[in-house]
Amino acid sequence: MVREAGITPLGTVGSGADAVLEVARRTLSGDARGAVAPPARTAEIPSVSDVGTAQGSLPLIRP
Amino acid sequence: MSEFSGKRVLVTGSTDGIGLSTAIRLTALGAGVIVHGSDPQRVRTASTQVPRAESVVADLSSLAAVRRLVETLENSEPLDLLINNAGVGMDRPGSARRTSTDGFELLWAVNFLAPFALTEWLLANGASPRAAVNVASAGQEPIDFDDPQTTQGYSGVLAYRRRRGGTVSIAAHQRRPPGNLPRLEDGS
Repeated sequence: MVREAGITPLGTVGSGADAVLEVARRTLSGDARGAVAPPARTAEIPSVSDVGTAQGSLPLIRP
Repeated sequence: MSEFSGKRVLVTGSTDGIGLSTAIRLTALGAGVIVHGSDPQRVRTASTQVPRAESVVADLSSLAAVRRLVETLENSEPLDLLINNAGVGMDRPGSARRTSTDGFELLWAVNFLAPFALTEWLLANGASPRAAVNVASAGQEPIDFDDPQTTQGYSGVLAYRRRRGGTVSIAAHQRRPPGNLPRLEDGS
C-alpha cells in the first residue's frame, strides 16, 4: 500500500483532479516517498513533512 | 501510452467535483474507471461523462454497504488503484450534528471510517488494490482522541477539519514497508 497526499491550496476542481493524478502517477511509479519508506513512528504520523504533497508541503498538522 | 493505460481504478465519490474530474482525466489517459456514488441516478449521469466506465453504487455512511462494495470488488477484476475521494463537505455554521445509519457522526463515518475500512478490507485478501491515494484537504486538524466523534462543541467546520486530518493519519497507518509493497510494474 502506498501513502501520499495531494493538496491544492485555493484550488479548483480541475486543479484538484490534476493533483490527485500527479500523486497517483508518483504512487504507481513507486516514486512516492510513502511508497518506499518504512512505517512512520507514531509521533511522526501527523507530520505533513512526512506526507508528500503534490504541490509542496504545508504545515497543516503539528506533531 | 500513459502510466494509467490499462489500469483499473476505483474513484469513490466520482459523480461530481474532483472525483468526476479525476475519473474523466484517468479515462482520457487510458485507465478503466469505476465510477462510484451513493445515488443511482447520479452515478448513471456521471457514467455518461466517463467513456467505458464501470459503475457501482454504495452509501459509504454505512459500514455494511462498504463491506458489500468490497465483496463486489473482490468478485471482479483486481484494482490497480483505489482513489479514496468520497467525503461529506462542511456543514453550514450552526448546523446540527448528524449521525450515520450506524450511529457514527456522519463525517466521521464517511470521511474517516469508510476509506479506512474500504482500503483495509480490500487489502485483507492480499490482492487488491496495488496502490491507493487518499484525498484530503488543506483544512485539517488532528483527531481529538478524547472525543473522536466531536460530541462536544460540535461544528461542521471543526468536524470536517478533524476528519480530513484523520484521512492523513489513515494514510500514514496504511503505509506498508517496501517488502510488502508490490510495485506496479512487477506484475503488469
